[in-house]
Amino acid sequence: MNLALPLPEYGVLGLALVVLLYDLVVPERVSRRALGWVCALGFAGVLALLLRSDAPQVAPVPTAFGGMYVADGLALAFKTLIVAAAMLASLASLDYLEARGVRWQGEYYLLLTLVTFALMCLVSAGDLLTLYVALELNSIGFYALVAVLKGRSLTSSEAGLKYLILGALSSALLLYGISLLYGLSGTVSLAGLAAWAAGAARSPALVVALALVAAGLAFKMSLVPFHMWAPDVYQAAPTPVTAFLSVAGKTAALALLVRVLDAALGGFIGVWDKLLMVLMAATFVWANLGALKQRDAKRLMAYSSVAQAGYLAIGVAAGSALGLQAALFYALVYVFTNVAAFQVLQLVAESGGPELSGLRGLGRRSPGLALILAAAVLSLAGIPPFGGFFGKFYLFAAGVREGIVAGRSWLLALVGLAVVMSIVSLFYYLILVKQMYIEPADPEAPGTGGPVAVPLGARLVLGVCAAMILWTGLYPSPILAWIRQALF
Amino acid sequence: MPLSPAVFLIPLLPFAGFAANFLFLRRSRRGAPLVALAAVGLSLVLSLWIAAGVLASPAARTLQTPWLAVSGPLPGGFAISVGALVDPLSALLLVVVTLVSFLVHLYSLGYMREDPGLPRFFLYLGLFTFSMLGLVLSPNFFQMYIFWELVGLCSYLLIGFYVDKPEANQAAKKAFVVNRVGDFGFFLGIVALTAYLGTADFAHVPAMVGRWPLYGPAWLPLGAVALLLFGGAVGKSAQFPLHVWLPDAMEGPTPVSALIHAATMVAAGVFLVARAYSVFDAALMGSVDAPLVVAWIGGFTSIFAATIACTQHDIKRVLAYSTLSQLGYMVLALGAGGLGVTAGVFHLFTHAFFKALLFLGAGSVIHAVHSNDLRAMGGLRRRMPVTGITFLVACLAISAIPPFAGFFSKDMILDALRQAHLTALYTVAAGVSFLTAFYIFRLYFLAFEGEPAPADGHGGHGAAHAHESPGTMTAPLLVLGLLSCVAGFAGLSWGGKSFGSYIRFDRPASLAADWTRATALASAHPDARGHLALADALWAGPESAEPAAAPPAPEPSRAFTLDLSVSIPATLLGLAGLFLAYAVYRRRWLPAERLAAAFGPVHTLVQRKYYVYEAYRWALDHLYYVLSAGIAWFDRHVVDGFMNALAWASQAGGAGARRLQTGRVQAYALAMLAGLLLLLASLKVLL
Repeated sequence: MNLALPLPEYGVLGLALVVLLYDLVVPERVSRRALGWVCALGFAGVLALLLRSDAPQVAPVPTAFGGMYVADGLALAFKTLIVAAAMLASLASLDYLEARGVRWQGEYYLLLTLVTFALMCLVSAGDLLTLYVALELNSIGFYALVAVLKGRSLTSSEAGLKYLILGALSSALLLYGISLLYGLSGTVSLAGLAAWAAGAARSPALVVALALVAAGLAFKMSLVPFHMWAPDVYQAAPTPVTAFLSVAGKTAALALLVRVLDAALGGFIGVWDKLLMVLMAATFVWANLGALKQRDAKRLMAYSSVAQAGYLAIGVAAGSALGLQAALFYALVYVFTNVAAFQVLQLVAESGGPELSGLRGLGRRSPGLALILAAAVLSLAGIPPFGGFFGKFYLFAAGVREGIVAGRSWLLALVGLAVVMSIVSLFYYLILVKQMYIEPADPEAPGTGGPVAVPLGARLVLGVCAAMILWTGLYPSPILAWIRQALF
Repeated sequence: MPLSPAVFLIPLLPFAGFAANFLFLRRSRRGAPLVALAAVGLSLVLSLWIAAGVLASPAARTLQTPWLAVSGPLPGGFAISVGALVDPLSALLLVVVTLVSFLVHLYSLGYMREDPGLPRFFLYLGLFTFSMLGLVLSPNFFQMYIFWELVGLCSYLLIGFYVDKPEANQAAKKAFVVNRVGDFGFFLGIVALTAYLGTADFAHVPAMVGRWPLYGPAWLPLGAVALLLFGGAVGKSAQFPLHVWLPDAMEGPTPVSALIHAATMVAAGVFLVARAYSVFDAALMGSVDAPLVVAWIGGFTSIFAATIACTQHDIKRVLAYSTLSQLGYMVLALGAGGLGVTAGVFHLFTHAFFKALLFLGAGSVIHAVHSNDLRAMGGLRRRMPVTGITFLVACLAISAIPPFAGFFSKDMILDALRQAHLTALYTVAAGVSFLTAFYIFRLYFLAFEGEPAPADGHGGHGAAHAHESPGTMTAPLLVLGLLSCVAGFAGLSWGGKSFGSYIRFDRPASLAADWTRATALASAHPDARGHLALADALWAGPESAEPAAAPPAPEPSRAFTLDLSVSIPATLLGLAGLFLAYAVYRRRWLPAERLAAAFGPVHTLVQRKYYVYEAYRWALDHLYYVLSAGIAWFDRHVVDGFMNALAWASQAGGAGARRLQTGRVQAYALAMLAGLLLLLASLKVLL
C-alpha cells in the first residue's frame, strides 16, 4: 500500500495540528489573527504541491487503504479548487473575525482546515463508506462554522441549527439509499458498484435507492427543492464562511455527483439522468425566480448559487467526457467569481449594511471594488469577456452535443430552459450593477461618504479572483488543457 | 531561423501605450501624445528589424498558440489560434503601418495641438495601430477577422472624433454599417472554409483548396467562397458598390484620413485578397471565375471614382475619391493574377506613401487656411514652400510620371493586365491614368498656384494670410516626400532580388492534380461531399498514391521591367492629363465653367456622384423601412408581448417563491420530503 499517496491531505492535517498547537501555546490575550496568515500560507503550500503533481494518465489509477482512497485526476483537479478556495477563505477571514472580536478564532481556523481535509477526502473517496464519513465530517465542521458568530448574532446561531437539522435529515436519506445499494449489489466500493451496474437489472428497490441517493446529494449541491437551507444559511453565516461553503462545498458536491452517478452508477444513466433533470429544471425556474425579489445582497447571491448549481449539473447529466470537462471548468470559474462577489459584498456591508441599497454610489466611492463586483456578476450571468461566458458556453455546448449525438431530447429541452433562465438571471445580476452605478447614493445613509476600506487580505483575495475571472475569459486554453489532462 | 517572440511586441507596444493612456493619462495633454509616439516608434524599430530578417530569409514563419477550443458541431473539435505569421507580405505591411503611423503621430502633435480632445485622439490612434498590426500579423482567418472588426471600430471612433458635429456622427455610423454588409460576407466565407476544409490557417489553406470538389458541398463552388471573402475587401477597401462610406469618412481629423482612410486600413482589403489569393486562384479551376469578378469590380471602381474626383470642390473629398480610384487599381491588379498580385501589393506600398503625403499636405493647408474648400485657396506654394513642394512631389508620383514611385507600380499593373490579356481592363486602366493626372493637378493648381482667393469667398481665414505649418508637421511631409521619390526603385532588380522576388503568388504545383483527384473521388462517392470526416478518410484512402508533382514551371521574373510599348503611352496619358489641368485651371485657356457646361447633364451626374447614395437612400426608405415597419410591429406586439408576459410571470413567481421560504425549519424539511416523493413520482411517469 502506498501510504505516501495522500500527501496533500497529510499537509492539511499537519496545518490543522499547527493551528491547534498555536491556539494551545499562545496566551489567550494575544489575538489569533496571525492564524489566518498561517492557514493561507499553509494552503498555498499544499496548492503548490497539487499544481506540481501530474494526474495519472494510465489505468489503473493509484489507490491507498485498500481502495478506499483514490488518487485519480478527477480528485486532483477538485482538490486543487478546494484548497484554492480554502486559501482565499483564510485571507478573507483575518480581518472579518478580528473586526467582530470573535472569541473562537483558534477554533475557527482549526475547523476551516479540518473541513478542507474532509472535503479532500470526500473527492478522493473510493467507496461509499469513506464517502459518507467524509461527508459527515465536513458537514459537522460547516455547522459549527456557520454558527461561529454565536453570542454576537442570533441569526448565525439559528442558521447553524437549521443547517444541522436539515443536514441530518439529508444524511439519513443518503445513508438509507447507500444501504439499499449495498443490499442490492453486495459491495460498497465504487469500482465494484460500477462493475455491478454494468449488468444489473432495474428493480423498484433500485429506483428507490437512486432517488434517495440523488436526494442526499442534491442537498449538498443545493438543488431545488433540497435547497431551502441555503438562503437562510448563506445570509446569516459569516461572509467568508458563506463564500467558502458556496464554492468549496458545492465543488465537492459536484465531484460527488460525478463519482457516484457518472462513474459508479453509469450503467443506470437512463434512470438517474431523469431524476437529475427533474431537479435541475426545478432549480433553474425556482432559484432564478426566487432571486428576483430579494433585497438582501447575500440572500440574492444565495439564490444565485442555487441556480449556478443547476448549471454545473448539466455537465453531470450529459455524462460525456466533454460534459465533465465543461463542468470542471465552470466550477473553476465559479470558485473565483463567487469568492470575489462575496468579498466585495462583505467589505461594502461593513459600512453600508447588508441590503442591496448599501451598494449605492459604490461606482463613485470605490471604483475598483465596483468594477470587480460588476465583472463577477456579469461572469456569473455568462457575459464575455469574463470566464463565466466560456463556462456556460462549454456546458451548453456539451449538453447540446450529447443531446444530438445520443438523441436525448430531454437534455436538449433542459439546456433550452437553462438558456432562457440565464436571461432571467441577468435581471437580478444587473440589479447589483444598477445599484452601484445608476442609483443615486442617499446622502443620509451611513457609510456612503468615502471609499470603502480594503485590508491587505481582502486585497489579495480580490487580486487573485479578478485575475482569474479575466484569464478564464480571455485565454482559457491552458486551463482547458490542464482539465483535459486531469480527466484524460 | 525560428521566429523570435519579440515580434509580439510590435502590436503590443502600441497597445501598452493605449492602456497606459487609458488608465492614467486620459486628461494629460503632454504625456499621452509622447507615450503613444514612443510606443509606435519602438514598434517601427522592431518592424524594421523583422523586415531585415525577412530580407535575409523570406520563408514564412509562424508562432501561434491555441486560444479558444471549440467543441460542438464540428467533428473532433477545433481551436481558434492566436499568434503571428511573418512572411514578406506581413513584414512589408508591418513597416508601412508602423512608419506611416509614426509619422502621423508626429504630425498630429502639431495638427491637433489646439484641440480639446487631444488625449482622446492619441488614445484612439494607439488602439488603431495595435489593431492594424494585429491584423497584419494574423496567422489565420479568425484572428484576422477579430482585428478586422477592431480596426473598423477604431475607424468609427475616429471618423466621429468631433462628437459635437452631427455630420461626423452620421459619417461614422455610415462607415460602420456599410462595412458590416461586407463583413457579413467575409465571415460567411471564413465559416465555409473552416467548416469544409477544417482549417483557417493561412499556412494550410493553400494546400487544402485543391481538394474543394471533394471537401466542399455540391451547392457551394469555391469561387463563391472566394467572392464571399472578397465581400470583406469590398467593404473595407471601399469598392463599388460599398464605396459610399469612404468620402463621408473625411469628416474625421485629417491625420486620421491619412493614416486610416488612405494608407493602411483601407488597404486591408487588398491585403486580404493577397493573403487569401490561393482561394481565388484555385477558384479558376471551378465554375465561378472569381478573379475576373475581382478585376472588373476594381476596374469599375477605379474609373468611376476618378471621374467623380474631377468635379469635387472639397480638397479632402477629391483625395478620398482618388483613394477609391487607386484602391480600385490595386484590386484590378490582383484580379489579373500572376504578376498582378505582385503589382497590386507594390502599388499598395507606393500609394501608402504618396497618398499619406497628399492627405498630410492637405491637412497642412487646412490648418493654415481653416477651410476645406479649394475655392478658398490659391497661391499657397509661395506662402507654404515645404508643403507646396512635397505636395507637388506626391502629385507627380500619383500621376505616374517617371521616376517617381507611382510610375513603377502603375506600370507594373499595366504590364500585368497586358500579360493576362485583359484588353478592356487595360484600356480602363490607361484611361484612369489620364483622369488621375487631371484631377490631382486640378487640385494642385487650384490650391497652390495662381492668386490667393479673397478672405470672404468660401469661408476660412483666406489664403493670403496662410503661414507654413510647424516643424512637427513639415518633417513627416519631407520624409514621405523622399519616400514618394524613391520607393518605386524597390521594384527594380538589385543584385538579382527585387520586390517581386519576395511578394509573389505562385500556384502550388499540386493544385491541378489535387483538383482532378478530388473531382474524381467526389463523382465516385457523392455522399462524402461536404462531410469533413468522410472526405478526409477518402482522401487518405488506399489509392492515395500521390501523383508525381509536376516539375515547377520556370519562374517568370517578377522584377520591374521597362517595356516601352506600355510605359510611353501611359506616361504620355499622364502628361496629357497634367497639361489639360494646366490649361484649364492655371492658364484658364479653357475656363472650367465652360468645360462643365459643355458636359452639361453629364457633369451634374458626376458631380452628384452618380446618385448612388441617393439610390441607396431611396431603396432604404421605400423597401427596407417598409419591411422594417412590419417587423417592428411584430416585435412590439408579439415579441415584446411575450417578453412582458415572461417578465410579469417572473415577478409574480419571484414573489410567490419568497412567500414559500418561511424560515421555519419544519416547512423546509417538509419540502425536502415532498421533493423526494416528487422524484419517485416522476420516475413512475418517466420510466
